[in-house]
Amino acid sequence: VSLSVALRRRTILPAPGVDVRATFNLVGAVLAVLGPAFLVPTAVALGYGEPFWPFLAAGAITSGAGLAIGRVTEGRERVGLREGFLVIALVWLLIPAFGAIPYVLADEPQLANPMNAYFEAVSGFTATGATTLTDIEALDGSLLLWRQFTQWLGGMGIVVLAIAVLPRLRIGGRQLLQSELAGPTEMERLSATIRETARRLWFLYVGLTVAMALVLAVIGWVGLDPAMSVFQAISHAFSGVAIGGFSTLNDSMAAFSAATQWATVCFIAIAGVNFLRLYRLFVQRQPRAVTRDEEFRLYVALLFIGAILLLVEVLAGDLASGEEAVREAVFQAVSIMTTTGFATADYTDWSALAEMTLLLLMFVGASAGSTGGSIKVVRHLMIGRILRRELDQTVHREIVQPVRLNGLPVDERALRSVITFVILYVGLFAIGSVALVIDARAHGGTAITSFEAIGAAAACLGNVGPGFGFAGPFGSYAPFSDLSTGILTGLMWLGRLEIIPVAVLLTRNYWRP
Amino acid sequence: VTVAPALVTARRPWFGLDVSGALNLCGRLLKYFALTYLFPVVVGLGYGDPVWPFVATGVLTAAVGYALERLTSGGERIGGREGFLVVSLTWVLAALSVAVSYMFGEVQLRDPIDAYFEAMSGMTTTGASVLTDIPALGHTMGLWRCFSQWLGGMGIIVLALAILPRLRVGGRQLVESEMPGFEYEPLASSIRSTARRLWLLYVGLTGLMILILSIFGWSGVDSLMTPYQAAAHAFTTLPTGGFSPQARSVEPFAAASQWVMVAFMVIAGANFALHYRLLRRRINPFRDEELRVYLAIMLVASVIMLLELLRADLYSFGEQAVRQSVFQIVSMMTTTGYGSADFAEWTVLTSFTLIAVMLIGGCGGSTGGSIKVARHLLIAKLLRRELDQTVHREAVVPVRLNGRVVDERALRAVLAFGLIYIGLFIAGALVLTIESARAGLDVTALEAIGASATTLGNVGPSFGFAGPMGSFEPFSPFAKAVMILLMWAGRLEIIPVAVLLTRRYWRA
Repeated sequence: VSLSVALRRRTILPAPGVDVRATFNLVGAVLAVLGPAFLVPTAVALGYGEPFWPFLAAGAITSGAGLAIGRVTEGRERVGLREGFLVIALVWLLIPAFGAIPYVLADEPQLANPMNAYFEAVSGFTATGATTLTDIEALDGSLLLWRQFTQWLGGMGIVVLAIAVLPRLRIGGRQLLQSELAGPTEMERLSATIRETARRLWFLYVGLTVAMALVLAVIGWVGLDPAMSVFQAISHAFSGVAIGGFSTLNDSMAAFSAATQWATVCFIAIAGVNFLRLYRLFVQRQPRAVTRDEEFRLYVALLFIGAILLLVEVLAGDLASGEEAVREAVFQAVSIMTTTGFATADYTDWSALAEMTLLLLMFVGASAGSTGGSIKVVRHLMIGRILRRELDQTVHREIVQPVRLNGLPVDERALRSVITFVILYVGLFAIGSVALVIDARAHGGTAITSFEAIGAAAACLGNVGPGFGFAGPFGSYAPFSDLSTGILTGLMWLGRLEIIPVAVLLTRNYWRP
Repeated sequence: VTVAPALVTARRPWFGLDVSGALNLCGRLLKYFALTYLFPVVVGLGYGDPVWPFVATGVLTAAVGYALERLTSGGERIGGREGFLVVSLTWVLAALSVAVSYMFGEVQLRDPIDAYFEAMSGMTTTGASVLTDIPALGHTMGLWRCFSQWLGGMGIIVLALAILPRLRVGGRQLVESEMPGFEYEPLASSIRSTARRLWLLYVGLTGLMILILSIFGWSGVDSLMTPYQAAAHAFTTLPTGGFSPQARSVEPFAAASQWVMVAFMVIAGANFALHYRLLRRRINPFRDEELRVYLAIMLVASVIMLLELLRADLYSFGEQAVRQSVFQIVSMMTTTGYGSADFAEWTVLTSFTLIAVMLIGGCGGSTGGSIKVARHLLIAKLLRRELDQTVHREAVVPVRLNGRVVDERALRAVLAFGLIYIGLFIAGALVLTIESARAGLDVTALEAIGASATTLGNVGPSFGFAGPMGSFEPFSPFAKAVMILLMWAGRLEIIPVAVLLTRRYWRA
């Protein structure tokens, strides 16, 4: 009795300070928007004469669920700052669940395990590129395209898409956009309204994808690459511009010719640059917006350093020579650092130094505001400057100097949140790798080395994709137990959302009125 | 200011700091350090071991110290800025001196890198060893090795409670723990007053431990525990060092002796300023937030260890299982590094638990190394505040420790320290992996991670061949040099070493 009284008086479960209904209302709206996306693989399935009903059913379920949630929570159309975190966290949990429906319905034995199907979907939407498939080519063409398409949808951001499409998010969308867009970025300069910003980002994103698909298709058409069909061109443009890393082939990018590989490198290197700045370069014709950017300069420098280190190792190990050696080094460095995950060579056979270089590059990541994951170049830049200032201030106590980025002082609060992010990131990575090792030993089945566990955790948290050892670029995450797969799925989710929107949900103050 | 230009140019000819004064002080310290060689000489005469290595090294050290002092001037006048250089150099020079005595007196340590590794491991109270046959050292060399850790511990107490707080290293001023009186004294005299108070406590605790262990030996509780062994282990417990003259660390000793060691390790890993205050007046030490968390972590980690040992059927439930788990956790967390069992052969979960407590470390103001409990506590509080502020933009909440508001600048320093520490730890693990692969030595990722964590945190043993009963001897010379650097940087709390690498430090 006392329990029910307490419940009624809400002493045990006080009304949360978060408007949960409004949150779900928006989540429902986003789901409803996503439903029509299933028409793309449906069309492909019709074209190839493959079963199309899994996609149609999944689309109907997604839209239906979205509309139903919207109906139940009607009248709560406005979300505030606080609800934004919950929206983002839920959207990125639920959308892959719906996106996994075709995998389960399609009668594909490799994805019959729901955990694996969900892993594949999360890996898709978060643009990670890790796969539990052992024979990718065994999948139907429509299913393969759906895999690539999920990466493309998730790459720029589902909520960014929703902001561009849904009229109701004209106000309050900034918070959402900032939570979903990777890294600390300045939003104001691109356009006056947040909706316009979101539209411009998507416009640029679609433009880049079309360009990449065209370039690849032309390479195939003129005979530079016999393996490059129109289907392959579109598939790889989807996962390339999204910095995803899924491929439709078992050999990833190794199946293609040198010309294709160089074209791909160029496009993923571009997709790893801040899109807000790319827009100013390509659309507003302000090349200095990119070339003068300190983050861009460090990004390019790090890509070069990584590529040179790998080149030295490739040459020293006699793994390749001439143009091929340069290509292999550059491709792997760019692919791993931008967190794409394509591969033209099995780097798990390379030397320890090369593997460690790749592992480090996984932690560098792409630029803020790009479609890439991991810590991001700008955060490394800021951390470096914060530490330098700290050392200077240890000796010269009287010095008070702001940390500057592109000549402008950075707010102390922003600096603190950068440090918070990095600490949480490293902490999660450590916990993730330890959990994988312990789980693997507890199950006794798969012998997994510490290095493989570290690689898998880093690759999933950083949304890179391939790890080391059996989970390497031509390998698969299939040997992991269901619990480990679940842990890795969680890491991909956390990595894509940059941890903080999820971490705040775990604090007591978030839920208090 | 009007008189300044002439004075500044006279006293600071090359750099923005008084290098000459710093070297002068280093020379003086080295000269005093030479006196410590009297100890092995006396022991050597007593046991009839050769004493010439110690006499020779003592004379050499004194000569170098004297020369350094004569060639430079101004040691008494140095300020905080020179302090970084003095602190960094002192450890390098003291370890160098000890290394020379090893090269003179021990066949296993003829190689300079090996000798310097062993010496640095001693002076930084790490406890990692490149020896493969420890009993072959003989009585005098064996005790000298342990004694070097005890000397290192003396240095660390002063470093931790007088020097680093004054230099505001890594937010140390907040862990600074109210040693009375030194805040307003000049650096040199504050070091002296702290040293006087705390060395007495340190010596007293060491004496007490020798006494208790010797009584165990006499009364037959532990037949192996001779006064020699008692002294050697007390010399390495109080500085949380971990060297042992035994081949298999402290495994052969009786349960009672091991429990005593646990108790003293816990004491040595706690704040010495707290011990000092506890002696002076009746206070409740458990009101100290750091101490509570320190003990709580030990308890939780021990329970995890115990459950895992029982699950893996390595021990059956009983005193021995409890002792093994508690001993290893306390030994690793206080960064001592004794092994009461070869934990390198235990399970993966135990290895990771041990690495985790290695990265936590003892309390601030202790002789223990690593990141320290107080810093973890503050980082956790900071993260919590950051997350709260992400949602409630308007909230301005200070971070508190023991009820007192902690200065924002100190918090920034703690964060910076945490990041640099983790960065160095990762860099160390990567370099060790790459270097071992190059040298054709089979080192797994876990072993490399363990070796990096154990040397940077001044713990001692790692996993695999470098486990508690093993040796770091198989590592390549370059890998050993890297670990020497890690021990050195870790002991000095990194920042004094790191500032030496900034341009601003040397500029006027």
